[in-house]
Amino acid sequence: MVFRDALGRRLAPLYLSTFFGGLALWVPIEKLFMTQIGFTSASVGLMAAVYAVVVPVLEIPSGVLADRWSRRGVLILATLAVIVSVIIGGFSQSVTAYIVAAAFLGVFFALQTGTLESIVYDAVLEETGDSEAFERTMGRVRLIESAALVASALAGGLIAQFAPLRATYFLTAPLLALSAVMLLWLREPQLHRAEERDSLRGQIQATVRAVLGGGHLRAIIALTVVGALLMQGMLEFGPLWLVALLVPPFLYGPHWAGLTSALGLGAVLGARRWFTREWTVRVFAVAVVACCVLLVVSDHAVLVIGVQVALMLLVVAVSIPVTRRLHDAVPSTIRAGVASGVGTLTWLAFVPFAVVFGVVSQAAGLDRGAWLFVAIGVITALLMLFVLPRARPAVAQAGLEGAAAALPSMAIQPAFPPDRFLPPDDPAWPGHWANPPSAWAGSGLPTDSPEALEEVRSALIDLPAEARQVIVLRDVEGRSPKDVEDALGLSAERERALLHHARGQVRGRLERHFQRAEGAS
Amino acid sequence: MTSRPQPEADLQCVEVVEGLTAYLDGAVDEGQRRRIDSHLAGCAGCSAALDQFRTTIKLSGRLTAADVSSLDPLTRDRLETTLRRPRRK
Repeated sequence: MVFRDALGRRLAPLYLSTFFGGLALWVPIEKLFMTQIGFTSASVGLMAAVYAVVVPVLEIPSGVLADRWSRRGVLILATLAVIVSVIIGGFSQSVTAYIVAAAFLGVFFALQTGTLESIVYDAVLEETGDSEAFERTMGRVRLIESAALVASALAGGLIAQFAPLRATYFLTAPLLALSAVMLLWLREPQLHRAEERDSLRGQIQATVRAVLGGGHLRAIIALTVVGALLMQGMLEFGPLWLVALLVPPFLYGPHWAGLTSALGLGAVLGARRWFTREWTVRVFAVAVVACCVLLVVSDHAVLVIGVQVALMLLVVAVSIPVTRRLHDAVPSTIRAGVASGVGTLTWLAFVPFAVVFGVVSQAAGLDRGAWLFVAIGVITALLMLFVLPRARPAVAQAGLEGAAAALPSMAIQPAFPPDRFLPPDDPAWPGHWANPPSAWAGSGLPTDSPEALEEVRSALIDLPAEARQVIVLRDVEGRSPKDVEDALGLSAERERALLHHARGQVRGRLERHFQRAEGAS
Repeated sequence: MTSRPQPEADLQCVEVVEGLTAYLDGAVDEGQRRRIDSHLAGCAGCSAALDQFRTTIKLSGRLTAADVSSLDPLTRDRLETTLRRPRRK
């Protein structure tokens, strides 16, 4: 309890900074403002495309800066970049000036990505001694951020109703300054956990290999990408419908608040078990296409807003089980690379999407451009039907086979390291113990302690997905070997080998844990 | 430091420990099971290994599926990226 309070006090400046930084009053009316200063659908698309290229490229040097210099410093720089962005944005009279403002926003995003998480992670580690509270703490940061976004969406719409649109930009600047000042009170964690940042090329190679692995994995990655296109497309272009329908500025607030809260609510929806039931998936797949079609045919402002929010909700919800499928289907060795690679792929796929949407909408009207959403929506729906309703282990297995085709299959480690035995050419006792283990039961070791249980839990989580599935089904859930073989489509030998590997890894962790405990006492 | 098994037991310790999961599953034939039993009876190291396996299994059994399905890093990244999107532009 004391620890948690200490952590709360430690991170209070960060919480406050996040809140003030999240109050972006200009966001809901941005597209309306851009239209006023001369943007067309085509130039909005072009700007989004440029943005989609710039951000992933900038992310790498900014990560190095955060690791080598100071994370708090990088966060402050990031906030300064947004201040510059909103000031330039607010003064913009032309498309060119606004694109410069957007570039500074790109700098902010690249600087901020990963930095905030690293600070939270290290602070949690320093204050509590382990990383267990990370998710909860990060959840709190995200909650504060979402609350600020929703509040500022509503406030921004209202301000725009009664004041010039530019005012929302200028009013955001002091809030951001406050956010930067708050960071000065943050005591930066000194633990510098060197983030493993894969090279862009490494990520792409890992992803390409995984994609070439074929089967379900390809479908899972495709669904991730098209889902993200719809999501990003709504955020980037959704407000253009409001511009086209000439809705009053105050409606931009609820529209943006709706899209923003759909992000949070969608995540909750997607985590429900029933969400991946076959009939549910069918209904939602039809709903995705229906939403896209309504965007083409409807010219009723409230309906369009509702449809956009619903589409966002569905796409975010779909992304939750899809991410889980992706995770299950990829061996842990390349998981991080594939995860970032898929992220990069999404950004890159957004470039042609943005350009085509912009050009078509410009030339033939928004309702023609919206057909691109329908096309992507249909692909999304088909992939949903293919990827989502499967029982989890079956999909994971299909993915594993896919990944295994491109990668050496998971090496089965012996339960005890080979150096604990005498070598095969030992004259007296080949293959017998050189360094035998000692029994735990009745040894007075705390085998029942919560710490031992926690060690087992974390060892299980660290296992490669395929071994973890087997040991969770067998030893945690207590299912029979036959059930597990059937569920995962494994041979009896493979199932036993994976289980033995997993138990061996957990055993090794426990052995080291008990040795440390003994050493400490 | 350990009482070594009789050579006529014919199994090496390394074989016994790598076969423990099969042994515990009852997936070995009768002859093999008897050989393992007699090896275990004479080898403190291997019976300690068996004991460690049993403790490991018992501890895993005290967890629930929910304990080990906490939000994995990938899902977390994805969620965080998703929630951050609106600020991007």
